[in-house]
Amino acid sequence: MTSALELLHESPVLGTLPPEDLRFLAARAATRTFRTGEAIFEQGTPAEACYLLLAGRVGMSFRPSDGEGVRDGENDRPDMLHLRQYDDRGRLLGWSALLEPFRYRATVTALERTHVLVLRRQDLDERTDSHPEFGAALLERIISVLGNRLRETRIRLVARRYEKEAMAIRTLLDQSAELLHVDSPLHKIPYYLKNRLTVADAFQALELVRARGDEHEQDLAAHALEILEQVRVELTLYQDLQHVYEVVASAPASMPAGDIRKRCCQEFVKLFNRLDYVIEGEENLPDNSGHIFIMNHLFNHPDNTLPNRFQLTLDTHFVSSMILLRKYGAAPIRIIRKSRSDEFGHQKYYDRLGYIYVSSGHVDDSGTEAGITPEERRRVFLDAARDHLLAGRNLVICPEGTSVATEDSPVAFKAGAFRLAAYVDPEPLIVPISVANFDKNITRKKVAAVVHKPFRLSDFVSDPTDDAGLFDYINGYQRCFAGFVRETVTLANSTAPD
Amino acid sequence: MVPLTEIKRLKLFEQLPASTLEVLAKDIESLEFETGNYIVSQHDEARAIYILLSGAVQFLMMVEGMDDFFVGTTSERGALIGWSVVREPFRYTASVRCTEPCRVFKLRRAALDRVLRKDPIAACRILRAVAAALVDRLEDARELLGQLPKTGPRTEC
Repeated sequence: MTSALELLHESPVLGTLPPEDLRFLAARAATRTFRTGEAIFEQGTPAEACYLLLAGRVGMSFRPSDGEGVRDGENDRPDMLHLRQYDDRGRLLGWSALLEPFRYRATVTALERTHVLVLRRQDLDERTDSHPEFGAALLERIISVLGNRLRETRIRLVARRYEKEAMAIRTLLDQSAELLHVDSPLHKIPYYLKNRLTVADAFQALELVRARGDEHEQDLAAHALEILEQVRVELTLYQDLQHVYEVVASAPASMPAGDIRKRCCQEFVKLFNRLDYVIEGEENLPDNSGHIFIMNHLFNHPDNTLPNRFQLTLDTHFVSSMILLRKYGAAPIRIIRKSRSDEFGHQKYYDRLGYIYVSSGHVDDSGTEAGITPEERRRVFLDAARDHLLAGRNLVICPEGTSVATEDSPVAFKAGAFRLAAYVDPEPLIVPISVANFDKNITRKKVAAVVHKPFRLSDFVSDPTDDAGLFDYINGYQRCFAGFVRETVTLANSTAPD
Repeated sequence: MVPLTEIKRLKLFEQLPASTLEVLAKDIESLEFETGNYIVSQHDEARAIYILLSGAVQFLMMVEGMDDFFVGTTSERGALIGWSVVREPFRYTASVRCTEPCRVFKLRRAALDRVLRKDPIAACRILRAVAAALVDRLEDARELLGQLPKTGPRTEC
C-alpha cells in the first residue's frame, strides 16, 4: 500500500509543495474507503476536509439552484448535472475546505470502490497559521485547479449550447496550448472528428493518450472523451448502420429474402432500442397481416451516409422493425424506387431484401425493360404486390414517392398504393402511419411514429377507375395525413429525451 | 494615488494591513471604459488585474469559426477581472467586455507579485479572495450549464 507521503509526492497539485509541508500533511492524513454509490462529500454540506484520490473512480455532479439538472451519468440523481469523472491518482477533490464559506460546491460520489487520502481542514489551517508560505503555495495550486475547472465548464457550455463537440475540442486544445507539446497526438483529434469515417480513430487516439500520455495530455484526453460522449453515441449508431448494411448485403446467397428481411429488422430493433423514440396507436394495427401500410417518408440525416454513399432509410426501417415485425413476427415488404445504375450500394442492399421495385423518373429503363409500356410496368407491379398481400405479407408504401424534411411532410401523394388496394380482392386495409424527426440527428432528437385508424378505400371511393374521383379523394386524404404528421411532431417534441 | 479608504473597502484588499495597502495603492490606477470596450482580451498576457467599481461586464470565450461565446456576466462591485495574473501561464482565459460604462481599478502584475512574494500572510489573504472570486465564476458557469436543455437521449455506448 502506498504511504500517504508517497501519494502526496505523486499528486500533481500538491506534489511540488516543500518536503516539510508534505511530511506535515502525511503525518496527519488518514485513508478512507468509499463503497460504490457512496458520497465522498455532498454539495452544500460543511467542507471539513479535502481528499486526494488514491484508487478508484469518482463522479462529480452539481445541483443547479433551480434543482433542474439533467440525468447524465451513472449513479446520478435526476436533479444533478454530471460534471466529470475522475480516476487519476493524486487528484485533489474538495478544495472548498480551504475557502470560505467552507461548504462543498459540488457532490463527489464513488463510482466504484474508492480509496482516498483525507486532509482535514483543521490541519491545513494549522499549517497555514504557523507557515503562511504553505497557505499561499496551497492557494496558488487551488487557483490553478479552479482555473482548469472553469475552463472545462465553459468549454462544456460551448459543446452543449452549439451541439458541436468538435468545435469544443478545438477550443479545449486552443485553451490548453501552453500545456501541450506540438507533437502531441491530441492535435490530430479535431481533424479526425471532421469526417465520420475517422471519428473512431479520434476515440482510439484519445483512449491511448488517456492511458499513456503525459499528465496534461491524460487530463485533456479524459475531458475530451467526456465532451465527446454524445459523438460516441453517434459513432455507435453509424457503426450499427454499417453492420446492418453488411448483414443484408453480405448475407449468404442461399438465404431466402424473407429471412434476410427479418434479420435486417431484428438488427434495426437493436439499433432503435438504443435511441429515444415513441410509438402510439398500435391498437389500430389490424390483427392479421396482409395489408398496405402507408407512411410519410423523411430525408436521411447526411451524417448517416455510408462510405458507399448509401443511406439506410431510417423511418421505413423503424416502421418495419419496431411496429410491424413486433406485431406480426415477419418483416414487411417495401415498395421502393429502382436503383440508378450508379447506385451500387442501393441495389446491392435492396436486391437481397426481395422488395418490389417501381420505376421513378430518374431511372433509365431502356436497358432492362425496353419495350415495356408504362401500363404493362404498372401491371407487373400490381400483380407482384397483390401476390404478396394475398400470401399474407404486409406491404409498406410511401405514397409521396420521395422524401422530405419533417417540416415539409407530407408532399403530394401518388396513386399507386390506392390503386393497389382497389386491385386486390379481397380488398386489403390501408393502415396510415405518420412519422416525425427521422430526418434529424436521431441520437439527439426523439423520433415518433403513430399508427392511425385503418380504412378500406372502397368505403370512400366507389369507382377507383375514375381518375378524377380517385385523385380528389387522395388529395383530400393527403391533407388529413398532414394533420397526422403535425400531431406526430408534437408528440415527438412534447417529451424531453428520457 | 487612489485613496486608501476606497481600496480598503474592496474584498480583495479588505483584510490587508494598512502598510501593505499603502504599498499597493501606489500602483493602483483608476480607469474608465466605455460600453463595448474590452477590459482584457483572451490569450493576451495577463499584465494586470482589474477590480470592477461600477458598471457591468460580460465574459466571452473565443470559439474558432464563431462569434465570441458568452460564458458569464457580473456587475458586482469588487468583482475581479483578470485573475490569470496569479496563475501560470499568465494569459487571460476569457475576454471581458463592458456592457455598461465601467470604472475599474487596475493593479499591475509586477506590483501584486512583489506583495505576494514578500508578505506570505498578505499573499494568503489576496489569493483566498482570488480563489473565492473564481469559485463564484465557476458556480455561475455551472448554473448556465444546468440551464441548457439536454442534447440527446441516454444510450448505451
